[in-house]
Amino acid sequence: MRRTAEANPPSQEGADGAVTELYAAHYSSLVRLGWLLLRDSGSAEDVVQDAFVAMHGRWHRLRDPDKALAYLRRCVVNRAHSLLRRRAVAAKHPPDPPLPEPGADDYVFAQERSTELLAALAALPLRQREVLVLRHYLGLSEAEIAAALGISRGAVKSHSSRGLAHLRRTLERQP
Amino acid sequence: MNETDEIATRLRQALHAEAGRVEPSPDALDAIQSRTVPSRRPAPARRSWVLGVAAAGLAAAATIVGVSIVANPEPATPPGDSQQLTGDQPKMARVTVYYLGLSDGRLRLFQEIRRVPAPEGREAAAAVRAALQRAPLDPDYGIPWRGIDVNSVAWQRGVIAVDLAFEAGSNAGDATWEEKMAVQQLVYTAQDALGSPKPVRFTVDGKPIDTFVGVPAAEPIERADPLEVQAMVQVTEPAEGAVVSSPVTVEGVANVFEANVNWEVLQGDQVVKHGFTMTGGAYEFSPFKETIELPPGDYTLRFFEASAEDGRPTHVDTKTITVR
Repeated sequence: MRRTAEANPPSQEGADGAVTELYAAHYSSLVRLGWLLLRDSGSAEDVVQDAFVAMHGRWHRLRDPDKALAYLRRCVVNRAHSLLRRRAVAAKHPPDPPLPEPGADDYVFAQERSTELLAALAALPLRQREVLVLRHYLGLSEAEIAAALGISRGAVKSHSSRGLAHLRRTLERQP
Repeated sequence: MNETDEIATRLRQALHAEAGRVEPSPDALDAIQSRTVPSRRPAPARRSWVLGVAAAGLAAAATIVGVSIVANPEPATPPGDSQQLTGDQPKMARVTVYYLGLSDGRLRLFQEIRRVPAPEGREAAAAVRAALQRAPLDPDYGIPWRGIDVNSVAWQRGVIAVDLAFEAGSNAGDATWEEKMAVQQLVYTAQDALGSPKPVRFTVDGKPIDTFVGVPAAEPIERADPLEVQAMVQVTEPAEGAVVSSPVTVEGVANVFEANVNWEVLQGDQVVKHGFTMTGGAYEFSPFKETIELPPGDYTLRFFEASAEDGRPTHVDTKTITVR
């Protein structure tokens, strides 16, 4: 089908503009958020692109870049969540090949400690992992995390403290 | 700085370092825009479909009639089930009634648990009557019948005998898929009511019939393979329009990939809660049960199978409920 010569309705233009603006400002960080949750860059991009398409379709209700950003985050987390649930059960999905090793200039010791920490993070229950990534990667507030995950602020608090406690215990057990 | 703060700081650094190594693809905006041009957007119109309208020349008064089933309709208030009953209250029975609906775009059977008036010993006939005449609570489902009633449902020499009342005429020609499904709707309802998968012999006012809306009926009719006729995900509790208290117990049957039923709770278009639950077994119809805590309000429960390929919701069944 081709586009007709008729003018687009205002909401269509608003939605197109919102996609362009939010893309410029947030696409990378959303893909990285997706990657931290999914550990798979192809799926992360798919999930974020789907979220943008969904946001575009809903722009007439959102009409506000802040709300639209919150909506995008929620979509990304929800979709990643569904994928992870599925994988947890299927346990067949081949993980991405490891990222390139850090160059000689990197602080290798710091890198190793990060790797341990991220491995411990990956072993946490899904909800705890999501809360910790939203808190410490995106720097979201408790209220924003609650909105993104569709859970209460109390639940955010408890997932966060349990998650951190778990990370601490895991790391203490390592030599 | 206490230990937890230290962990948090280290986690923040590690996440940023890790995320910084991911390079999003440069042409993603094009990919998104190609999916949002107006001509590519599906119209938000209510999707409706019509069951095969009685074929011309089908002389039987019992016909499969056009049924419009609308996806995502307005929340409905449950009709009928709690009739105003005064004086002599007929005995009520809890029966499973099968209806027709769309599951992933295909015509399938969906169960509803209904309370219907039924004299002692007549529960199976009451269930079949509901399948023929009583509108489903869920507006996503429909009844394909008009002008037909049931006289009796009974055991007869090892088969289930369903005696119907309608003006039989000649109805030559092979049954359509819709007609076969309409007959299976009655077969399943009668079998569930009697708790047996034995075949069903249909008669009209006590007389044998050769065909029943085009389906050969001289011999008892076997139930079709559930995989071919039943919806893969069916929510049976709470019923559409139910007013319930939290935590909400959701029950149903499903036949899904890895026994994994996904769910979302929506308010308007917003997903306010989501999760998943397991059925009793993969690749077979088996029951599931999930308990969801929700504050008071109106919600749509959306249960589905996430596609094995891309996680997309498939075989969706929805129920609109109110939590008080």
